[in-house]
Amino acid sequence: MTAPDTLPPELAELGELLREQPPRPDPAWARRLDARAAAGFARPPRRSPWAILKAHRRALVPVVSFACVALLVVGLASVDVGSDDMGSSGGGGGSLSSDGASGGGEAASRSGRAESAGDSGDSSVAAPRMAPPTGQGSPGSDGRRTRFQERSAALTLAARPREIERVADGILRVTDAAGGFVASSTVSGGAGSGGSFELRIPNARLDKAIADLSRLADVRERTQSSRDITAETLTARERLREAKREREGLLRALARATTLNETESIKARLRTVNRELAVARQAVRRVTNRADYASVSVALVADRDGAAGPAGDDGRWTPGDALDDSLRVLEVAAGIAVIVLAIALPLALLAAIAAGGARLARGRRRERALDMA
Amino acid sequence: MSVTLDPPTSAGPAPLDFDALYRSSRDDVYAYVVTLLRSRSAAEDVTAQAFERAFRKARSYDPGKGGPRAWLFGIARNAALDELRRGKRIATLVAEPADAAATPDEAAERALERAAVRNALAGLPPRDREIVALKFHAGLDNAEIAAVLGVSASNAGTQLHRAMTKLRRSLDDRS
Repeated sequence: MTAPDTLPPELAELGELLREQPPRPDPAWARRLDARAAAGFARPPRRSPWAILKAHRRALVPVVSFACVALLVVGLASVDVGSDDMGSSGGGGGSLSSDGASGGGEAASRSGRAESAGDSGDSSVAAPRMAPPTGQGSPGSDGRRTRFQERSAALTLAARPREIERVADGILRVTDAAGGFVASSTVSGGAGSGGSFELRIPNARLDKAIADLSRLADVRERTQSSRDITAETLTARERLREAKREREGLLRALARATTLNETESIKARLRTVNRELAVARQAVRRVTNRADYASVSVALVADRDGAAGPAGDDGRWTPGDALDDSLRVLEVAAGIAVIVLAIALPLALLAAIAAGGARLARGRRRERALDMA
Repeated sequence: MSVTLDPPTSAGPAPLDFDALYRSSRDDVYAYVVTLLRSRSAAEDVTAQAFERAFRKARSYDPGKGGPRAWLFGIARNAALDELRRGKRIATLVAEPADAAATPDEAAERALERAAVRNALAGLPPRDREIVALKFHAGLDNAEIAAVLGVSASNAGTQLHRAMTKLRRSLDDRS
């Protein structure tokens, strides 16, 4: 319901007087405005950005110079950081830890065959000869010229379920090619497909083998470690030498024995020493194997997103791969959209509130101006 | 004074015929603005500015929120209030010059009455001047005035009645 537009007669008469001759604009101004309206209220042409830059080129020189220097510094810094990263990680994002006096896996990989343990009579007692690691102390610091390293590595490879068998075969091939062997392995198919492998790889070929294994599938995790077992090795050898010396002494005593009792007593002692000798040989063999062969644990996991590496890839891009890739692209796109929305929505809400507030404040300022006029 | 709009179609609201709106409203907008600001030069600038703003914002015109004249006068009002806020060129014009000199007696008497009314109007507070100008200079009805001022139509009618009563009293006091 709206109020009627009519006014009482005495007020309506005033209205008529006002209506009869309202203020009229100056005809010249009206013509000028008509012309502007006909031209679409054309704005003065905007200056091109290039013209604006040209006008301020003197002021821009220091700014551009500073920007170039800053870019150069940032570029050099990033290159430096990149090379540091490559040097420290050894590639592939793996981690490398070292235990003992050695400088790490690279030095250990240069280990040669064992020098003579001072026991020319026992050829099985051969141990890797280690080159002294640079910058990590010297072998002579504790009176030893050579050091022995036990190296180990662990890899987690991810492959698509249908690639598991192919990658498992690849692991065995790499192991054979490196001159190593598989200590144990399990491979399972089906929904929870995957596998685990305990490999022994000659130390000298460990790095290449790790690199070959890493190319078989997507590397999820890689760790390498080395441990100094020099003292352990030397102790085992020393025990072996002592056992041999004692045996030789007993044999000489047996040859000199004159009584039956003496002979039996020496023989009994000799049997004991022989057992000790066998144990000592076993210990030396064990510690030598640890120094000769690195222990590599490979965990193979099935992952829909796991991408087989180029070395083992048959190079075909199947419709299944295309579907997987498409789904992955959609997942990533949806993720990005969610992130963008999560950022944009609150910002848009804040902007809307700010715009509404500004509009309200502007309206109030206008009304106040009318009251104060 | 009439506003010509393109015929409405079923596809959506009628587009704004800016040319027709300009032709029918130019003098009315000026009359409203000059009554509010009491400065010819300011009124000329503000009127031009209002039409320019309306031209630029023509696409945002929504027929659902009121007629084109109400929309245009809303823009003109904002421009005039912005001018008031800047506080320049205000109150330099007391009233339009009287036009009695060249007219016969009866007409001269009517002209003098008109001049007296304009003088009285110029002495009213801005809000009263504004609503009187919207009604009798711009020719808006109460619903359009309500849309321009952002009040209800009955409130606009009440404000108009009060302003006209003040104008009557002011005239009576002057005589």
